[in-house]
Amino acid sequence: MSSKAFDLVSTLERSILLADIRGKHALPSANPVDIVCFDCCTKNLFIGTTNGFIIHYIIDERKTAERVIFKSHLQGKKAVAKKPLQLVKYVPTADQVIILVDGTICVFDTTRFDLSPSHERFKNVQTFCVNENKEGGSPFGQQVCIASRKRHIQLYNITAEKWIHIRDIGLPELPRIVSMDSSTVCVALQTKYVCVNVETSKLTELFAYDNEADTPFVKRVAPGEFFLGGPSDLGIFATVSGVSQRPPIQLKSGTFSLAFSSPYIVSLNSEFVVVYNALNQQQKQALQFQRGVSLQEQSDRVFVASAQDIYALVPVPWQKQVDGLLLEHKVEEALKLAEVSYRNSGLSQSQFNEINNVILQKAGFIEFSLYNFDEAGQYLKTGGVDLREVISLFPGLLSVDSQFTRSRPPLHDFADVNQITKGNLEKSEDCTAWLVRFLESVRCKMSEKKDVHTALMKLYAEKRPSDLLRLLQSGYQGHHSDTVDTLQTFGRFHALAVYYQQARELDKSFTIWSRLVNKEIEDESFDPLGLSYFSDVLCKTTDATLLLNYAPVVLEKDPVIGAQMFTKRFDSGIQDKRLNPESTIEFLTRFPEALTYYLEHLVLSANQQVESFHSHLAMVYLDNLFSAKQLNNKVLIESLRKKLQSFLRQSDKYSVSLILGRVERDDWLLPEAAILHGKAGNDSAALEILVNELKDYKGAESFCVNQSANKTTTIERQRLFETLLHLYLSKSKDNERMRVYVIDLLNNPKAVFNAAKVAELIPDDWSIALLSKFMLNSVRSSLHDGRQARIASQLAYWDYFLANKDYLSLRSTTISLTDNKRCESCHQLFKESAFVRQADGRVVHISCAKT
Amino acid sequence: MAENQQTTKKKADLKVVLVGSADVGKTCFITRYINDSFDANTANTIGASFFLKQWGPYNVAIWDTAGEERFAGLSTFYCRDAGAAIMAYQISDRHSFEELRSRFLSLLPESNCLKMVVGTKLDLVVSGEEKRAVHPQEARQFSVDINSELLSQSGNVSIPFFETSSKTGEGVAETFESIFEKCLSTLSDHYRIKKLRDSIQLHDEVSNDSPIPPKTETRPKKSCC
Repeated sequence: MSSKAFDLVSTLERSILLADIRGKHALPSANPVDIVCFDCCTKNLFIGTTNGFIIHYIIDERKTAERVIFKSHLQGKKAVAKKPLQLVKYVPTADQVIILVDGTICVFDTTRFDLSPSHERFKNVQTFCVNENKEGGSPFGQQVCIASRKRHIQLYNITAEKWIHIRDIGLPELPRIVSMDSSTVCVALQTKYVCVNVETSKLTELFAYDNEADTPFVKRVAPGEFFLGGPSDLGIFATVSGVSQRPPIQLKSGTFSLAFSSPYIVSLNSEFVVVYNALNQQQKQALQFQRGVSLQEQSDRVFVASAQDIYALVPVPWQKQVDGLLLEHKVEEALKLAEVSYRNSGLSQSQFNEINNVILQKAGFIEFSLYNFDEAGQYLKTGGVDLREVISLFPGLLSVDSQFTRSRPPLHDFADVNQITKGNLEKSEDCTAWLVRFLESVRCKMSEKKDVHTALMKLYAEKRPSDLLRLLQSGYQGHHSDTVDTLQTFGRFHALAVYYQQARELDKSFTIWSRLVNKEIEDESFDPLGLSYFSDVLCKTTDATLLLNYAPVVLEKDPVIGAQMFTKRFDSGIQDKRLNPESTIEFLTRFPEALTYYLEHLVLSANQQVESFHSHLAMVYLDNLFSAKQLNNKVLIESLRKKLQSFLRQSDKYSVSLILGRVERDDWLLPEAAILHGKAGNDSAALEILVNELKDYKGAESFCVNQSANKTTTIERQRLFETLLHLYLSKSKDNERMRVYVIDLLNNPKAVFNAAKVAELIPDDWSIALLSKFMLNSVRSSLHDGRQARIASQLAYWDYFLANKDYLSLRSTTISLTDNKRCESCHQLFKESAFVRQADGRVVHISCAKT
Repeated sequence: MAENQQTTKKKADLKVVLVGSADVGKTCFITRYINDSFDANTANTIGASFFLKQWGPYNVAIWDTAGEERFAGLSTFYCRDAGAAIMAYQISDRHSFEELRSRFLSLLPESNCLKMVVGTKLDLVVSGEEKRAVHPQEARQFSVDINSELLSQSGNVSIPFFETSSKTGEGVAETFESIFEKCLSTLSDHYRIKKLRDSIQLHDEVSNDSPIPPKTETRPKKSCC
């Protein structure tokens, strides 16, 4: 059963009616007085009774917020016959009530409130009707069609003064019921329905009915359209042209009176008032109604009389009907009803859209309350619901700072979601899960953003921290205090830091991360990110003060990661006075390991050729070496030393004297001292250390080989090797084994010696055999050098000879300069005899030769 | 519902009625065409029901009439002005075929109405559940007889006859397409002429009332001063 379309409201109560008929003090009569017929027009109500009275009321209608109240005022009553009145019809244009009683029509003058004596009475009348559609007729006249008890109908035009007979039209059968629309009278004959055109007298047959089984009725429902009682209680629509444009309606049996109030057909039988929707032919509403007499429509009201009293069927405001349909989940129907109602009310499309949206939203909330989440979401979304309406259902999600208030009138009756779930935890979780899905799927308006973000933040903080960061990092606009409180309550410190970071409150966010790094507070979502995340964030900050304030936290945890913050900044080329290499080095002095890493990066990777960096790095290496020595960590010492030595050898930028001053203080750093001496060009000092102190002969030899590569002349090279030879020889006096080194040195193919000088230096007691190889090599290389020199000399001579020959041949040729000879450079004629002959033989002006 | 109301109010371009004995499957036939579904337990049609179909630019109103005898009186009424009628019989029911001639032919407009003879429930005969009672040749001949006017007017028209099954969908859409093609493509000319004639009539009526002969209206109007 669909929601109701009408409310039944008492219009004229039995007690009032009886009191009015009999006078206030009359005793209850034994004869029952009942209503037989009535008519209403504007506020006038005319009632015909069983005892032949006509009673006139004015009906006042008052609307309160909740309902409609009718109040009846008796205007007059008159006994016009001794028998029951069959039909009364008020014709306001003529100030007349046409009364059918006992087969006779009489005219009742409402101004005099008595039967009009001037009008004739029409006898042998079956029934009559007035034209319900006076299209094109006189505004003062009213057409009346009388169906006589013979086979014809009579047409009259009536005014206040007189009834004018227009024409009679013959019929094939006796007429039973008539109804008139414009120029067509629809007549129920004994066995069939016909339409009669009163202008042409043309008959159009509609269809037959069974006059024993069926109750005929003819009801005009629209211009040119009638609703007729057909076989098997079918109500059939027929147009004046004799066709049907709407499917029939199945009525209740014994229906005898009808009214039409768009889009509803109201029907009356002995027990029920039934309302049908003419649009879908479905029953809309049924009201029990005993002893019904007749239905009459009047503007948007339908009045229904029983034998006892009169009621009005007041249309339920369509909003109420819509609400009713929504409660029955007939959303589509509700929307259609709204559409029809609004089309009739003549409001604009935008106003209608608004209403439509409200209906959708209401439907959404109802579906939600039944956990039909998909439908709910769809309706709310299409209805363009204010998302805060939905959020406000969930306690605690809406910020206390929110400006939002629920819409008036309310879209639903729920205080909050607990009222729906009634404390069922599982259901309530389902609701929350849906809310998350819903909020995620809908694009929120600017005005809602703050609250929607806050709500999502709260939901994520509780259930889905993984989505929390995504929300916070993508234009989050939630309420500040709510955000901070919630994230702290749920221990989402990393998210809180991210929030502060997005809010440009870097100091606060860095404090939180520092505490997370130091494990003062815990947040599992930060654990996988850890130190490197924090260092990245610090590294990217533009505020040097902040970086310097929080860098120690990272540097203490991991010097390398810490140092990388600075190296990355250096590489990225961010210019900042407070973080230039000099101040960074100064800052990092407290963190030797980080400092080492930073300097190495500057010097080795970034290839910075700055003396102080190189010196500083060497000093740092040395410092590290000293600390390793103190710890007596041999492996470490070895590796550090290698590093230091290779740096000392490779770099040319450090201050040798500075390092040497440091190195010379410790004897165990002699190898480094040797390298440094070598760097300083003090070869003999270096060699002395190598040979005398370290006894590293191989080292000494390779030192010489390396150094000799830097020397430009042979004499310098010879001197270098002679210095070493000298050192060896001076030691060989006491040490026989040194001879081996001397010989090795002399035989080293890379060594350079002046053999004569060597011969002088070698002690005389050394055997020739020992030196034979060196001597042989020396003689051979001397011979080789000599021959090389001779070849060179001969070749030079040959060059000279050839040049001489060329010179002579050139001098023996002549050049003739004539008037028409042109310069081979500028192609102008020679104007004077002076010219230049170039090396390639071209003859040119002197001026041209210069250029 | 609301749609129906709107569309019924504007005049349909073609009215198609579906007639035939009770239980031959008229409603199923329409349901198959409109919704492309099949329900073996369709309720009896009370009086008539109504469907609207958009075919190209045309609105087609399809009336499904009740086959029961008690609604016989109504059927004539609902068949009035029909441009085409589907005369349905059940292939396995001889009586339903004979009733087409005896009962239903008289309901339909005599001229300007295409009478499509349609055998239903072909699937029952094909599967062998029921025996064939009407030979297609016989039904085709019946169609030729009752459409003689139409067939003689336009020579090259296929005989309006189909054997169908609403259960399998066989022949259903073809039936309607054939009707629409025949009526709307031929009628479109007819309608155009009719509309044109209507407008001329209106024009004539006006000119009859006016004292000036119609021809003068075509002359350029004289200026007032």
